[in-house]
Amino acid sequence: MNIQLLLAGIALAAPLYAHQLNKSWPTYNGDYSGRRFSELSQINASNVKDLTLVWTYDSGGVPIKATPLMVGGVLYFTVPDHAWAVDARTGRELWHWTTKSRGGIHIGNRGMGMYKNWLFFVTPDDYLVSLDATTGKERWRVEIADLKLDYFCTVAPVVVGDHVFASPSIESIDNRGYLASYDPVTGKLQWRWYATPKPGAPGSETWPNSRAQKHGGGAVWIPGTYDPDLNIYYFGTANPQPVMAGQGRKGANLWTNSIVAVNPDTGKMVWFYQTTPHDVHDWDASETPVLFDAEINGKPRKLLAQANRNGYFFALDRTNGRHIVTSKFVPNNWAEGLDATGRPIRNPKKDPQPAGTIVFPSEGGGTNWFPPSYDPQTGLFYVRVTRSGAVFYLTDTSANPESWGGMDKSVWSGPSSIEAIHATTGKIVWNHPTGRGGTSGVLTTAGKLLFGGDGSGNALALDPDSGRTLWHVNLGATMRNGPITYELDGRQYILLAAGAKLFAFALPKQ
Amino acid sequence: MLSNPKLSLVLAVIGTAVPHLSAQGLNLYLPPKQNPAAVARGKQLFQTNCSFCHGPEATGGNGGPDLVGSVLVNNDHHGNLIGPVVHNGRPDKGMPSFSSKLTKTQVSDIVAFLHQRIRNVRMRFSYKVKNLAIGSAAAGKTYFKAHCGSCHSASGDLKEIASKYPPETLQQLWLSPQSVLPRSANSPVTTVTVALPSGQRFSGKLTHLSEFNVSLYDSQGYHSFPITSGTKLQVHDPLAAHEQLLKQLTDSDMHNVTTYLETLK
Repeated sequence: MNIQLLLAGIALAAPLYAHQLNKSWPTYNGDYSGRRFSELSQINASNVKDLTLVWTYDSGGVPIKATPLMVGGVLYFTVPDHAWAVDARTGRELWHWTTKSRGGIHIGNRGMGMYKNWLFFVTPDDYLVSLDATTGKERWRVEIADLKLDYFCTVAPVVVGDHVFASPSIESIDNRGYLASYDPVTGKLQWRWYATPKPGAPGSETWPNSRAQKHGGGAVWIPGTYDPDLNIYYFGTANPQPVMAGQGRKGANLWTNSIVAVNPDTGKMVWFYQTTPHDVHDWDASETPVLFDAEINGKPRKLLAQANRNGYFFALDRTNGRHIVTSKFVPNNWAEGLDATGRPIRNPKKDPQPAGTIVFPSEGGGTNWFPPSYDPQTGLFYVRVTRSGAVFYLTDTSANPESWGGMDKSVWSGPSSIEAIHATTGKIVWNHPTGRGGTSGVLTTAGKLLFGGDGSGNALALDPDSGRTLWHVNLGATMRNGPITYELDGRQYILLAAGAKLFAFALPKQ
Repeated sequence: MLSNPKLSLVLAVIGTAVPHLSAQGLNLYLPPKQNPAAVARGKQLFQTNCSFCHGPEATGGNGGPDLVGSVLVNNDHHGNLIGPVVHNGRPDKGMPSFSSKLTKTQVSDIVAFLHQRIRNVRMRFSYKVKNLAIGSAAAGKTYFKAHCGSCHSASGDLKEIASKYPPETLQQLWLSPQSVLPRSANSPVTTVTVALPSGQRFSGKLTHLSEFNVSLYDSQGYHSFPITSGTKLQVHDPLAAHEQLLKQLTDSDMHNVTTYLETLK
């Protein structure tokens, strides 16, 4: 099945970026918008209590953090060094691909991208791999970063036109982050966009010298979103390096911790918006930039929203990156206010200190990689959030620190919840407590349902208007990915993952 | 907001924390550990011969590039890539040949120093904080008496506490015992009283609480109850006071109390 064909078959009434996502789930976020909103409504608020288990599949031990694709009746998903195809009706395994790893950090894998009958995913040891979707046979692999420089990969590739976007992550060694585009046929590199400017180029004025600039950071951890009308690809960049010791990189450190818009054909930047200037707490801006349209002061607007790791929710005009709203969604104490463009103003007293400073939220942030959802029926943005705090220490006080240069010690792993944020005002409309811990994403559907998980291994279906619980089931482990939904033979399925297992639910057959 | 505000408060009290990252969990790619004697000799040789251009820590200096982040150095294996550069120099970039100045063994010592540098940089979980006792012990003692004295005493449960923990752990411990102490038989117990719609009441050690279920141990054994609209819960977490304190604590309060606790040796 061809994603381009799937996208071409959309109803013209719907905007291109949010083609009607219904029977299939062909990209990491379902469609290009990042809304994770499905038009399916067979399962709805009145019958969700009747959901029944159809099948389970055990992938064998490593927790699933990938959002599966569902194309042509087959599910495709990954964990580090492994990929599977599973029958979406029965849970029967069709093939399992695995590879011997050269190393790299095995923290998780977000899933696949698809083009025609080809699959694309990355490995911890820095390969972009392409498989034949029918057979699971490897077509090619290309090295997208240098493993020995501490690059490793977790992202789910996104396919736009004849481009496959992939990018490495960074942990300890100070290097530049980048987004790269590859030819889906050959794996040939098409372009790279670097998250720090070349010495002397625009943006350099936000770094003290070329050494600091080259030490970089700004890795692209999470798949981005795309607006075909504007032909713009949106993604977030991570923290500058060294992570917690900022004295050797005074300045805003562009384009780290930014929401970035690029032309997918050239990799040229269209605009950027930095959410945390000169970050020293590891609060990357990687979280999904969700695209939606809404009226502001009676005028229709093309918008983008992100719940950021730094504890602030941002809404922007996605045509030009201009600021619409900034609001707090968890307790945070590191900013002295907002500047004229809605960016938090950092309080330098809350930078890591040799004897420590108490900061809310902790390094893990107000939210993290878990995919959020936007429901056009309610106009609300839904995200799993955590309240937290840590003491941040500066351990390297030299003029030119390296790597992390500091650390944080957790002092508050507070309550987590699913929050509903009004997407154009930033106001919190409801808050559904989910205990402590838990890292599930969120899905909304036209059946007036929201699916997510709590910290005790329960999968939840909530009323997206009020946050009231409509259904739950304990899956025995916490959810670590985003739930999806699809329809086959006239039957709608809800696919959840907990631990290493997949669970498919549907209504009983009539 | 959730319809049952009491429940949301209760849910805030218990649960599983997100596990914290460790070097092992991350499967960090680390260059192998080098012979310490070779590293020490290599460091000395590097200071004499290389630091002018590459900086004393090999992270770049007067014209020479950063070697810790260098593609060539990171991909080097026992000097197979570094050796030829030192031997031949890079005349096009202004680096002279060191073939007449450094022996083969000396070059291999410099290689050992560089690989150890890269290893140390990557091991962020072994970072150490320095002096945390920067506050006023007297002010810390006053704060302690006012806010901690009803549960703790310097001559009782906290006697010689500073000898038992390194400073950063001690600071984390008093701010948030939950984050440090393993949940063991001796750790403070969270208790719960459950009042069922039938009027029956159970009290005991809380084992699990979610939106849907509460379970506990009492003298009779294990009990597990579904939570319905008529279920009433009262949770007592003996460590909750620490969480409350944290919300009002200033950094100078923290420094003062830690400075005071550091005197308890």
